[in-house]
Amino acid sequence: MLFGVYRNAYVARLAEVLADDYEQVHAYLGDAGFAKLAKSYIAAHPSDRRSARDFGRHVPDFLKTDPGFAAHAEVAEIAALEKALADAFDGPEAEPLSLTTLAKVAPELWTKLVFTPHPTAHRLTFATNAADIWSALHDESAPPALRCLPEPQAILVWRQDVTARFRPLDPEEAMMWDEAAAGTRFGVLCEMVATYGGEDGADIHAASYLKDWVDMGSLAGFRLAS
Amino acid sequence: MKLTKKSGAKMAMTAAAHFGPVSTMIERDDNIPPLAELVDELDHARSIAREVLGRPSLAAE
Repeated sequence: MLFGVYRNAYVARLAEVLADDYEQVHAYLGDAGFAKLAKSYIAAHPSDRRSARDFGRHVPDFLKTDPGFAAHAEVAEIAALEKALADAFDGPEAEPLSLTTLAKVAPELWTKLVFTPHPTAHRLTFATNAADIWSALHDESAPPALRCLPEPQAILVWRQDVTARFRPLDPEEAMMWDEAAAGTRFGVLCEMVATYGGEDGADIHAASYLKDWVDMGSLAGFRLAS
Repeated sequence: MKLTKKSGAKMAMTAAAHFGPVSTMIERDDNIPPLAELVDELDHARSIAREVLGRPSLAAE
């Protein structure tokens, strides 16, 4: 038994819950490292809800601040990605916005389009290559060497059909997504892309980002701003 | 550096044109022709769309 180090069956059970929820953190830290995390976390965050599902919800924040782990930012980021994927998987149902629906909007109204992200969509920003490490661990291959990135890495997590997914966003797309999710009109988004990346082709860039989001199922709908 | 800046509304319209054969847009800067001419151009554009796509565009329905 993995957590046989615990004499108390209740604590061992909680440690197993954490290992289920944070499978790649476990793979990354190894059994001994994860047992240390589980022990400190259980002491710091006694189980306070009936559902085991919620027990590990503070793990990413805990890893960021715990003296034993805070110096290893990638561990908290791998945990944040696992939690976001689990939350997206369990998140609310919503029919994704389709190209057909969007294409029915008259072109002259597109400037007023305000998009609603899919309710499972969640943005993360990483300082390390934790997303690549997660992917390698998930594929059961050797993780790449830890790197602190020169620029923060924007990640979008959401559920498409029955699969929780994530995707890195380049800085321009991340800016546009964050503004769109905050309720900025499409006309203003186009202007932002033009300011950021140059006017030539800004409309095509904006259109291709939007098309990707629709294809990904990361939008739930739109309204027209007054 | 261009002196004129495309408005967000115009870019949004051209972006819309990338979303399938739904809308047909005629780009025009300052040279605004009479309505009849525009309608002719639109019919022409739609007939091309029909030929290329092998079906009527939504805007022509």
